[in-house]
Amino acid sequence: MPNGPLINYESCSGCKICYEICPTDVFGWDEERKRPVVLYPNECNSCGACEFDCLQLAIKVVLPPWLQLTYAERVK
Amino acid sequence: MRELENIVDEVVATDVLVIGGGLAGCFAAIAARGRGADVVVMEKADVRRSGDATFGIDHVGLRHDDPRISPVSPKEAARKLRENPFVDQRIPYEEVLAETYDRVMDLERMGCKVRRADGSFIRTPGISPATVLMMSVDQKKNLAQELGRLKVKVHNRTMMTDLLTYGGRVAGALGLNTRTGRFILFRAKAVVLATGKATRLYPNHQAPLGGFVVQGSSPACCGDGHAAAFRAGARLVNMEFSRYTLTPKNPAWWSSKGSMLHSKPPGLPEPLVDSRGRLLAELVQEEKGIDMLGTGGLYRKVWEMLKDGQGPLFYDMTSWPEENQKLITLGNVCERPIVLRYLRESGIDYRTHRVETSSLIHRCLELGVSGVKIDGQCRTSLPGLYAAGDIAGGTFFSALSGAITWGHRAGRFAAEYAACSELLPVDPGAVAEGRERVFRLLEGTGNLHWQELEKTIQLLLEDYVGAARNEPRMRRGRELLREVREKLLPQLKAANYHELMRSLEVGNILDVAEMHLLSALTRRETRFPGIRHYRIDYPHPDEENWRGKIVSLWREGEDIRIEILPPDQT
Repeated sequence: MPNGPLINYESCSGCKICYEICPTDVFGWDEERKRPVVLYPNECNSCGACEFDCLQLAIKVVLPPWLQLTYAERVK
Repeated sequence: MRELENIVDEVVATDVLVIGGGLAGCFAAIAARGRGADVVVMEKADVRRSGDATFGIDHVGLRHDDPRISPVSPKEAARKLRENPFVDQRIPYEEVLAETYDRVMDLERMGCKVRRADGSFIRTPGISPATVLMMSVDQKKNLAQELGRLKVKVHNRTMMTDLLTYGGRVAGALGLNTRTGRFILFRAKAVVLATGKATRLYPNHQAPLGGFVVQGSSPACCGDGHAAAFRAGARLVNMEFSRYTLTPKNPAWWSSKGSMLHSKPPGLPEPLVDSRGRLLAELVQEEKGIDMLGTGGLYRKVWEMLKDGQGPLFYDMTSWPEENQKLITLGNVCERPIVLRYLRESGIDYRTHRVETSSLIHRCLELGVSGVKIDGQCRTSLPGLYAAGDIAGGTFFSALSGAITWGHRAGRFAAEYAACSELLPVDPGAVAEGRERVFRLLEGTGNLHWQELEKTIQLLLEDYVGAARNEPRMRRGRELLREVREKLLPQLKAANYHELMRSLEVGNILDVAEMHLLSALTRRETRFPGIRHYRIDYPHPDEENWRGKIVSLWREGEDIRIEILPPDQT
């Protein structure tokens, strides 16, 4: 199951901001297509900087499966 | 100099070089520039979203003589700090603590929202009455803009690989651009180290398949500065102390935890409950001792309970007043907005749900305690080298207030030093050696991936140092770490510049691991409540021999020297 930043290439404008700011250098840059590529998804720290800074809302950070469970109980 | 230009791709000369562009590094650069110095910042990621803060930090401790600004005066806070026998009494804490307010106002001038429209602060009194909310998710962006405005030269995506010395003084540093592979010599009259805390020493159970996934702190802060300072001969202190943390289990993850603690109604304990809803704080007999570091006793209890299979444990904020629950959300918005989506998608609401805790996580070495020893002017033991922020050791003053305050001080004093110093010569042999150390990882015949070596070191520390430490295990661990250095380290192989950065990081993690183990082996007592340094063979504090004694270590040639000293002699 893919996790880390998922790029929606239909919305991506190729502005490079995700590639520039990622604190853990997860993205590479495809010079031919002028688009970012996720090269190191397991080095994603789920900080959400790319998702937050993407003006096209083209990125969603996805947690790995073991972190997608609820781990909470309703008490009220 | 001709010769040097054949070894490196670029030579940069400046008055003050700041290594690390997080909160402390940015403030150091701004302060040094404000004193007329030519300033260069070297940053491994990008200053707009880097450092441990990434966006910024949602709370800051303010001390002020005006009770409308802070109920705690700098004098009073300093007096309290000085009661701690591990504090260096030479540090002018009254002055240092009073500066935090000025720095927060600096952030406001740069565009960060720190007060309501009527000029008042929002208090987040959970841990201290002096703490207020920082209402800005763009602290780092505002700082980056300020660097641009002041014409500070920023080298993003540039990792410091070594510090350079000449005649026992710091002459600059070597840097690798991790995108282009350019190898740069930075010559500087003064250097400020602001590379953050030392993380990634122990296994990350949130990332069982390797990598980072959700690290308690930014994984970029992994002790590059600690290791380089050590290799250059600077003194480090208190490297035995660990910061363990307990967080709500994902997706209500760690960022929520800090916000949660600061949002707590004052006087209430950390809202940890067992599966029957009993408050753990009430079950715990607080250990006797000086707990200047917070929640020690409670975490020791949690550690024991989880070790004995007594979970699940929960954070339960459902009975808090609504305003405190709202503060958690505000904190999340300001520090790490994505947390809100993670919470929403999993259907977790703090008002109605109790959230399961993770196991105890070794987050980093203890903040403001472990690190490169500084004095009140942020000077390290190496002339010309300054340190600030989370890398600075023995200060007992860290996080956002520590970063911006020490950062600004380091920049000021480094600029003053630079103003009456010359650029030192650089030894081409040392530069060539530094380059060879880096690039042989790309060219060698090894086949060890950085993640394999990182995991090896982490498992080793967990098994041979860990939360419950004893002499025979640590002695074995020391031998095994030596074996890692001799047998495994030379086999590291990087396939590209990104992996080269990671491989260099793992080399640094090995250096920090060694300092951690040696310091833990040296301190033959248990110190500080909780599991910061718990020796099962010396299970109690030894007040007679160890009270107010600091383990200080440094390198002399190939030898590691260790001294046990009172804090004001380190």
